[in-house]
Amino acid sequence: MAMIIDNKTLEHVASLARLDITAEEEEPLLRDLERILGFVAQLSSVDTSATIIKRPAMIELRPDEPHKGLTREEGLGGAPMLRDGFVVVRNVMGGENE
Amino acid sequence: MSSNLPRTLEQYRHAIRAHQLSAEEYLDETRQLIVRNDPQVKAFLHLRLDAAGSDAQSADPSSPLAGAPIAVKDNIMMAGERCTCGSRILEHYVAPYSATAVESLLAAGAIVPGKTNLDEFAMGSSTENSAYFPTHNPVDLARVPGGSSGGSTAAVAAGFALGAIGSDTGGSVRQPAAFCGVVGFKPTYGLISRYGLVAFASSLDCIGPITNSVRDTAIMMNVMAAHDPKDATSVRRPHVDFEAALQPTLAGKRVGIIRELQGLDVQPEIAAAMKAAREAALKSGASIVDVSMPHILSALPAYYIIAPAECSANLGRFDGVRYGLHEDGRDMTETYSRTRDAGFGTEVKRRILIGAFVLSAGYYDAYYRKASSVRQLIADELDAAMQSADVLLTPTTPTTAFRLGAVTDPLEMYKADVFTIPANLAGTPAISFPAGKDAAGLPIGLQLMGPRWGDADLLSSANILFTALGGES
Repeated sequence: MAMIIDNKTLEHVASLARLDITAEEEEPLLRDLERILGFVAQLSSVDTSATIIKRPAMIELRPDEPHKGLTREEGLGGAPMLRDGFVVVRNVMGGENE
Repeated sequence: MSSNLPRTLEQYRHAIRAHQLSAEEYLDETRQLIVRNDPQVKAFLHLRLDAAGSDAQSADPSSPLAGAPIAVKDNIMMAGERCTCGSRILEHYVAPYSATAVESLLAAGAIVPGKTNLDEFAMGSSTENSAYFPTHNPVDLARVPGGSSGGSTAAVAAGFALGAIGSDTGGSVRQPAAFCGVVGFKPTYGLISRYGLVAFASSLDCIGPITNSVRDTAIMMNVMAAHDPKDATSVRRPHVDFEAALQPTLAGKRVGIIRELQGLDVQPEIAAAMKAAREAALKSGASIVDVSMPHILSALPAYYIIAPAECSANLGRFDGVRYGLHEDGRDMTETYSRTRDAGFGTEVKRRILIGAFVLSAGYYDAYYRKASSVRQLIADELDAAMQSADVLLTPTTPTTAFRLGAVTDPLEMYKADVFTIPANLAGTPAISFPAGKDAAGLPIGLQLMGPRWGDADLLSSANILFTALGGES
């Protein structure tokens, strides 16, 4: 039976998910994923041609009015790197970091 | 005093109001139990017993929960407390605000002794996927408590709290409740606010109570069921008094048995418990009806597409920038990957990868879209079944609690969710209640499912079966 997922697809999917897969992790992951995807693939035999996916009833939005929320300090308090009330990241546009 | 300490919220409330007990005295007893037994059970990731002690001093005895200790799963935020989700990636994260459910509990006089252990980001059925340590089943320490809310159910079973809250995405409140011999309830989607619950699969996640009796579940629902403007999927409903809605009999009720689940392999004592429950239902005035849900067995594969898909999107926020762990790389992409590789455990990575795969170009229609259609089919079948029955009776789990380390194959672990997942896919309420023990003395849980927004009626029916099978009224 043809494989559902191969090394190349796994590497592609891992890069989409921003996950580093180490060489040791790759084989066991491939094996597990192949079995899980093989198991869920049984859905292809279910006839859903007459099924219409219903959207949930309109969700109620709250009025667009200002409320007291978290302060900037509270909101950013979990960030690993902060400077002057801003989140510090690596240079995203190329060039040297400070 | 220890011998006749209240075991339920109802007994506790009575003792407080009769001035036989104070919140401080009760918390003190609870603290001793925790200090003595939690090193073996390991229900809690973090304790806040000193803070709880001062909360108990100011507890209002006339409030609905009157200073009762209620444990909180560590993927539900409580302002100023750590919220790790059982993951290394949030090891040092402190919640800047409280979940609405936690605020409701605190406003009703609950005291939180600590935050409970879970499978990382609620992904698992044994609490062995916690990045910190596994929790042990208080009934038999060599066994798992179930999961992912295993810390919360173990805490209630061990007497560390009179109630707890957990989250249920595919059975994560009901399955560990069954394994630990307590009551676990997943309400209708939208009945309890998800604000402040760290998202795993947003269309399936529900916060639910864990208690020692069905009446206690009703007491906690009275506190937590409310519309919340902070959760756009919270639904405005007429007020219901869940405790007052508890009826004395099942007269006129139709208890449905799902035909397609009859062939499944379940432990013989669980099959016997099902038979006992049917007899108890008949004795209480109910009729037993046969219902058919032709696609119910497709719920499990549909879930293991939809939940990972939503998880891969929701867990994208853990990027090492806004909160949590940060592992520096040469550029942002490498920073993201290093942080996520160091911060996530194996099961979480597996589910993120499955999710990214089923959502990726070329596979979306065959997997995600198909699973969404099957989900609708199952929801339609469940709605139709609820036309010919008032409640549906199933086991909660195919087996009782297994030994720590006994199930290592992820697919085998997933299959333990076969009975609990349909209610999550359909957004309908379902409850697990204790129904005796197996030959090894391990608790058996049975499940009742009800129609969407039929939560109060469902609790009423569950209360009758639970008490008929030996539970506290």
